[in-house]
Amino acid sequence: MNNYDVIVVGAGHAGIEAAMAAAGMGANTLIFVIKIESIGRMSCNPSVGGPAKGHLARELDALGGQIGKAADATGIQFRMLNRKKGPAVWAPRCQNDRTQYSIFMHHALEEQSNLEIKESTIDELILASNGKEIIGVKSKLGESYFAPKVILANGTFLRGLVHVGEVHYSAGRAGEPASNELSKSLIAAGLNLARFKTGTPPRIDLRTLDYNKLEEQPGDENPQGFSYYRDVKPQNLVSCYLTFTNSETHEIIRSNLKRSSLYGGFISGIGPRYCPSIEDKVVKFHSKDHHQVFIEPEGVNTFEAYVNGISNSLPPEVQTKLVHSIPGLEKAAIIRYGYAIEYDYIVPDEIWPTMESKQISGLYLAGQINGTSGYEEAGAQGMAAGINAVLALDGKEPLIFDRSQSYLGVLLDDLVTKGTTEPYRLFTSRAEYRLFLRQDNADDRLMPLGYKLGLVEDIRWQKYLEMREVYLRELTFLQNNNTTISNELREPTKFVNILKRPEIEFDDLQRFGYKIPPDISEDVRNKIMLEVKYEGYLKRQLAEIDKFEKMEHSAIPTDIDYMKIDSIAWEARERLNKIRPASLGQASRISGVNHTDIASLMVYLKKNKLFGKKDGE
Amino acid sequence: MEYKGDTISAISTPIGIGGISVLRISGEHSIPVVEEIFHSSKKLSKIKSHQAAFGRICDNDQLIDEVLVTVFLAPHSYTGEDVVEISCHGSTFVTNQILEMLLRHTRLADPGEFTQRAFLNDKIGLTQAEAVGDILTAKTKISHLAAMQQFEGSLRKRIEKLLQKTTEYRTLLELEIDFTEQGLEQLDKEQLGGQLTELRQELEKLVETGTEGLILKEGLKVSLVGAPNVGKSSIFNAFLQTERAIVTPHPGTTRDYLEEAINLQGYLIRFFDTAGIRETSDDIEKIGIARSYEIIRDSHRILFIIDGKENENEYAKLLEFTSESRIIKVLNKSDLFPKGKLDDFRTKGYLICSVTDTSGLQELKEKLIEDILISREELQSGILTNTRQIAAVKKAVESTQKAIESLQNDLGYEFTAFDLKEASTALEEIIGKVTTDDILNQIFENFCIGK
Repeated sequence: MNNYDVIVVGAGHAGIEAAMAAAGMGANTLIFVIKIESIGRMSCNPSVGGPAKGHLARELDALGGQIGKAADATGIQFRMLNRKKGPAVWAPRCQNDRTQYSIFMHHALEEQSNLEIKESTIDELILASNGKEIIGVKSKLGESYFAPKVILANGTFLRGLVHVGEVHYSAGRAGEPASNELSKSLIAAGLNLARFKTGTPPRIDLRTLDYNKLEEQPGDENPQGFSYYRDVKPQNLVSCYLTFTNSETHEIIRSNLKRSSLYGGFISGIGPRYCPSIEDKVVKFHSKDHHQVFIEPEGVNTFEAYVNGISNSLPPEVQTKLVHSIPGLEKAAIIRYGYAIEYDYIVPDEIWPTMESKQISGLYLAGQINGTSGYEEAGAQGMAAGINAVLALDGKEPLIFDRSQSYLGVLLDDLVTKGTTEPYRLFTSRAEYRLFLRQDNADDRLMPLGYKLGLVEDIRWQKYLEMREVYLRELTFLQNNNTTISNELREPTKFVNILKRPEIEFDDLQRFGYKIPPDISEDVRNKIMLEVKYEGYLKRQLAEIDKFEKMEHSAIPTDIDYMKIDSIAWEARERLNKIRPASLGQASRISGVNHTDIASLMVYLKKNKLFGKKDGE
Repeated sequence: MEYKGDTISAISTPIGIGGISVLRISGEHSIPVVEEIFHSSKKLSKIKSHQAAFGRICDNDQLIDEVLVTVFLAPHSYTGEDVVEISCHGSTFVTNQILEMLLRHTRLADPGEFTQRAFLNDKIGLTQAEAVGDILTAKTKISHLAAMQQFEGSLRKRIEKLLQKTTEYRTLLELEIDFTEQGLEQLDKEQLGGQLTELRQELEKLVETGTEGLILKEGLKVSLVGAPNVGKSSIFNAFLQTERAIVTPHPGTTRDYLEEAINLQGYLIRFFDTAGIRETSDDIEKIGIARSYEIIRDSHRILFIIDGKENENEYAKLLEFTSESRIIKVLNKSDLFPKGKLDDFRTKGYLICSVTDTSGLQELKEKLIEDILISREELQSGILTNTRQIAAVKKAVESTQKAIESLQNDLGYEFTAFDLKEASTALEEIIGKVTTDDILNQIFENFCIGK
């Protein structure tokens, strides 16, 4: 009774991926959620994707994760962002039906074999008598549950404190209880906690808007989703709307700044710079006389809409004035008020790249609890934690995602190597090998891995293999065969040479005698075109990856006592001791560790015959 | 585990006009890298370890030098990796040029790096390990100190400015990529294109200072060429007498030529009195003449001296070894000619002088440094003074040019950003690193982000 292989605490975006991956790999898994209705809740805006985040969602999908599937099935407006930029940064994004998304995720959990769902608040970790190993968790109701692997995915619930103007109350998010006791248990276990802040805007009633004053933003004509080969046809069911704040709005905010929780001095946590509150925008960028406001419908069975762009922590009556000052929103009825929330997170130098705690073995941390923000970022960590928990149970090698191979790798490596001073969000500019980490090749990069782990269904895998075969077959054909119709050419040339020309699209090859086979999809055409047109750049990028890999594959033991290496600078020793990198490459990315320190480290490793040794060898 | 690092190269012998210089290349690509520039009857990849091959180093068909190349195959080499050693003629110009060619495909070795690799690959025993550690620490301290001294001043500031601009443009591109939909002003492509062109021009200007910087550091080499008795030696001596002669750092010790140096308006001018380049059948003289060619090829300026008899054959011969722009044609003994005759020579481009009555000598001095005169402002704005820096800035020029092209061709901002990152990395090699966090910080500081 009450014995499991893996326990997941929290059923948000991280918890779901963790539990589904663990159960999918065959582990007997239990997932806790404070309220069943809030499984897979999109507590910020009901949207998946965008630059880097869309890439991440595609990668999770390739690995066999849930987010892409759920986003496609419950999407109500789809857009491919950055279309006007280059193909490496095209980014899928969609608006979702908030309720449907939750229901979809709830079903997914229910249908997964080996997985049990339980509504309960977890208050305490149960550790082995040595205090260094997890053996289970204890609920508010006093019940104990045991498992050798526990994944904490509590989101913003740890000592969550909601702020609306001068009013402050304890909550995990508006309307749901915080988990206050668990923080104490984590501190008692020796983990290092710190505090962040984030916020959300008010929600309004779509029936009360003046649409003449709003600019409509429809979805793409040919909507593309996140998940290939699933036969889910993405559909555009709603439009979003754009409007702007004005000087009146800004005046309302300025004259009420002291009543804002943020500017009234009530909040100590650090908020994200990329997602500032409207108070912050008005104060820090005072010369800007207007800011964008997006009206994003929350679903097809509701009139509620998310007012993206005016997240704030002002008192309700000021929020009302603020909303009414915006063109088109003069008579808007506010359904929910915006708020700021402060929460505990665990400083991410506490975890290994597997997401396992350095201090307590068997304990994994995933999602916002590690100081990140975003559903996709949370899902990625959940997936990594779930997979690694089971690999460890089975006594297998851990799976460390490499930053040259996926955004997943960039995220996890940034987190555990560099840490974060604000809620961490992924950007494409964080990826050194961005030209290679594209949304169109996510399947090539990660699906073989997902399939090997048993997370990708056979039918999808077969479809992928078929597509891959067509891709290779046609690419080889174009590389090896000459044009047959050559009116426009002085002499015949290889098809690829034609395709390299900037003005030539894939289908234009027909003009030169290429017969487009019936089994080649649009995706494959685009992919071939991209690989051919950008060959020079891709080669340069691969050369860089090659260099990177050499350092990355120089494994070093993680139990070195760096404080004893005198030739390394003091500050660098402290950082190395804290992070305990797994490779020379990782060591070289730690801030405060320079090139000379790395050289000294290499000398030390060699002298002590530790070079290339992994833990336990 | 065998340490497989990237391929590195460096000049292993003290720089200067000595007999020969040795360049060493180590790493798994060392043989193919050298093979690319080395032309010989023997294929380098085919010769046995510890054997040498004679051949020529050419840069795009232009002969740089005749060299001896020795191959040491891993693990039987100093570093334990594949090592190639190039022995070339010991002139700074030739050696630097070969190094510059090698740096297109390899990285310049850090101080002590060959030894470090030897150690990492078990080529040095445990007892020596501590010593290596010490050397490493000591060397890096020294190089750090040296670097700091070099940077104290204008070059650092100049490169920082260029890097700042590069970062600024990268920021604009990243902003467009990651923060689309923010209602920010769209990137003005024309304007950025113009800015990038300006950046490239500034980088090119900086590269040009490198030639001058090297002259500043190592001296302007001037060789005197002409038939016997035209007055080469007397011009040589006239310079030494009127200007403060200084002890040369690399005294000419061979009997084939004389080297003396003077300080001319702050410039180190090194004169080489050559044995001449006339055709001869005398074997010993032939050796001397061959040496003259090398000196001529190395010289920044060549004084081609006549005393009235135009020597077209010799002049033509000279052009095989140097470019016309480097040659200053001089008519000596002007006191022996009538004015009309002198005017003839002037129209033919000769500079007229006479050691006997010292006329024209001042003009000749000015002519020598005319083109290298670096303005005070330029000196203060920073110049490049070594091959490594020059190579780095050249790389930055190349990458900036690629960025301009990718922007013009609408390849996509991420490709232009990639090109600019390459340019940035090259400049960072000189002064330090710009991280992705720096770029994001710039974005958050300067633009209102967030829906």
